[in-house]
Amino acid sequence: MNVNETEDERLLLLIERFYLNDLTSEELRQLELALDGNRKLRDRFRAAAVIDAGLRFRTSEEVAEKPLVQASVSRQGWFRWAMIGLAATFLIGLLSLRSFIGSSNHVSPQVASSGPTTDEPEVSPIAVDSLRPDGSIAEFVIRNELVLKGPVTADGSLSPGDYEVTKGEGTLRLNNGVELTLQSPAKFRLVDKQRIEWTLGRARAYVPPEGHGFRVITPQGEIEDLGTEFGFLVAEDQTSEVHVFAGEVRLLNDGQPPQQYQEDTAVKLVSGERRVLDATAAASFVTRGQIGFKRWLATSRALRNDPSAILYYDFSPDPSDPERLMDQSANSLIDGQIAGGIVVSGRWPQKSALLFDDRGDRIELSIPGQYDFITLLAWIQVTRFDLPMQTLFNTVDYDPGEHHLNLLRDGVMRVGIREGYTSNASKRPLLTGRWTQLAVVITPDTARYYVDGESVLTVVREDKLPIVFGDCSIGAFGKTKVSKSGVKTVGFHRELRGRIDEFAIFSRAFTSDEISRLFEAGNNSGW
Amino acid sequence: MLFGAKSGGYSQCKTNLPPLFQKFQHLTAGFDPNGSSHHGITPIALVLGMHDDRFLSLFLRHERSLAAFARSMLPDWEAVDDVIQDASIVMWRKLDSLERDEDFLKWSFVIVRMETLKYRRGKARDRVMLSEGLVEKLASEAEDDCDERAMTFRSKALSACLDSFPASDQQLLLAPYVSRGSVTELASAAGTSANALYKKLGRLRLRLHQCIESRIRVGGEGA
Repeated sequence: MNVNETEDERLLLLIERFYLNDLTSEELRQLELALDGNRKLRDRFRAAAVIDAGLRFRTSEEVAEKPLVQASVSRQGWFRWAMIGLAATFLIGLLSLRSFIGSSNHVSPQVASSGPTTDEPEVSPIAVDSLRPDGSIAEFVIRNELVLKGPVTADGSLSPGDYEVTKGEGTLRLNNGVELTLQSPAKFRLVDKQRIEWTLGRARAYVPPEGHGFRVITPQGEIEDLGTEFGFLVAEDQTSEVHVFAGEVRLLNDGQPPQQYQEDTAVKLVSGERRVLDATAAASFVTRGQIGFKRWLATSRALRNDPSAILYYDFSPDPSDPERLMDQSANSLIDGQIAGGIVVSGRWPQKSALLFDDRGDRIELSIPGQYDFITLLAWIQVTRFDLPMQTLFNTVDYDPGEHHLNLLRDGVMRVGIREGYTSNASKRPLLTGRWTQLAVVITPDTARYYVDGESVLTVVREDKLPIVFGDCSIGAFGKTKVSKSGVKTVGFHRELRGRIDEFAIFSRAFTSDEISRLFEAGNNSGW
Repeated sequence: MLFGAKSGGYSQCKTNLPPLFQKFQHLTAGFDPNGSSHHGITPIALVLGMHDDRFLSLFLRHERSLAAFARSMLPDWEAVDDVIQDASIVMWRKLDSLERDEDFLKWSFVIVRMETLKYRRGKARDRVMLSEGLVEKLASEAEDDCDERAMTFRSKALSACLDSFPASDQQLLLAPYVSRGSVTELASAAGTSANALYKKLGRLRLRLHQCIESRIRVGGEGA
């Protein structure tokens, strides 16, 4: 075999590994280069796609031949239904068509664009001064109004090099899991994933076991992690400080033996001398969670000022009226009436929420008007699924055109519009104990449902009814019973057990990208 | 606030449809699932018309080609599923603009291409993908080469070739599509690493490709 044959075989193997999702990014680039300049190779690449599709369909056929109860539920579900359709009657075939429409993950952009939308503001852009092709060793996992100068790669990752943070704050995660939460102003040089030279500003370092031995090199000496969380700063006059919040660090500086410092100790380095400070100053080193809260707050302000906002609840208490849930939207017309529930903390310690844990806990509200386009957003944390059905947000009467949003015992959203449709979003059930974003986007053509920014159900609407609300409840839902003597009592047969800390309704259709960005901005993952 | 004063909420509109029908319940709104339908016509037929009939027939005939076309431009099957779903809705809505059924494949390729580019732009930051220039090139060439007969022939050759492989090789070839962990499970059962098995899988796919090309050549000569 000559060199060319070997190269050809290597390229053909790269093609097959592309379809097996087994390529490194470097190999992908090599394949891309080869494909770009070689028509025959591109033909081969397309032929391999046909084989890949054939193998996948073959798998679907084999699954479809098995009893339905054994077919695993996956994103490939619609394919399998379609294959059942091929093998069965035309009626079932029709159902197959509906299966992928009904379980669609995304509404087509044509459909989505049918409603009025507004331009989205850029969320915390990184200012990119120069681009480098690869070799990145770190990336920001959260950022708030961050402006960073330095060799940032095209996808926002950081390569070794010099950086300056001129605005904002963020958490930088290195490839070894080390997280540095930093704030402006800051200057540093990323040497490699185990070393960073810090020349100005402050940061908080969290070092997992994989990153032990991580070093921060300051003008006054080096801080070596021994399994810990610590803060460090370099002032304008080049003095340095280290504040150990947990675990242990070792200080190494010229003219002095290495010294270990443990939890709740702070040391200042001045001209080679170590001065132990009275106390650590944890509050002066921002945490990732604090950045998350600020980022959410900025997004929340934009949402409540959105001209299409029908109502916006951030669940902050009203000291003058504990039973009133203030509508924070610019229109501020639809306050809710708190009928049960306890004020607790929400996604962040600084944020409040309502905890529904008792019979009938709910918020009552009344929304006038009718709407062609609706977006509903909510953040909830379900603690338990006690009942066959729990309600997040229902209209009281469920008249034609009214929407209901419930949760089944297994965490699946059960939704519907009266005289329109009823459907289950079974693709992604809600989990208990986890803050979750739910979103509903209704247009005259479709209704889309999202969990944590991901589309989980699309319903093609045939009813075209305008959406109406009237009297509604967030939380417990029930029926009014009238006794023989005429006394009316409400029996709640659907409850909500958990926390809710944001709820809003808009009279426009948000795009999938908007929903996804709002999820990112509101997600409280991280400390 | 009095609940259920008029209708009592969901309880009066819930259906007892079997699971398969419930999946499509949103399309059957308005008929009584427990009672007989008007004039003895199946309820599903009441809500689906000739438009759907035509679309379904065309789509099912070509879905494998459409999926393959999308796969050549996208990083994985998850992305393909998303794009084909979006594209199928566009096709369904625009079907009236397609004059001749014979042109469906080429027409639908254009829609899949557009949806692919939209998907790419939305996900470009998150996913490692082929460059847009290369994708455009691949799409244009696929649209030019679009030949239903050739695709059908290739599909049949694939089936015949796959059947000619030993059962263990067939199992390995199909494993990546069964579930994410299938190759790893097979590797574990065989006492080898997933990496080693992926290498074997790559070589097996090359053999499969050679077999298909060989059958196509023979078939071409025979014709």
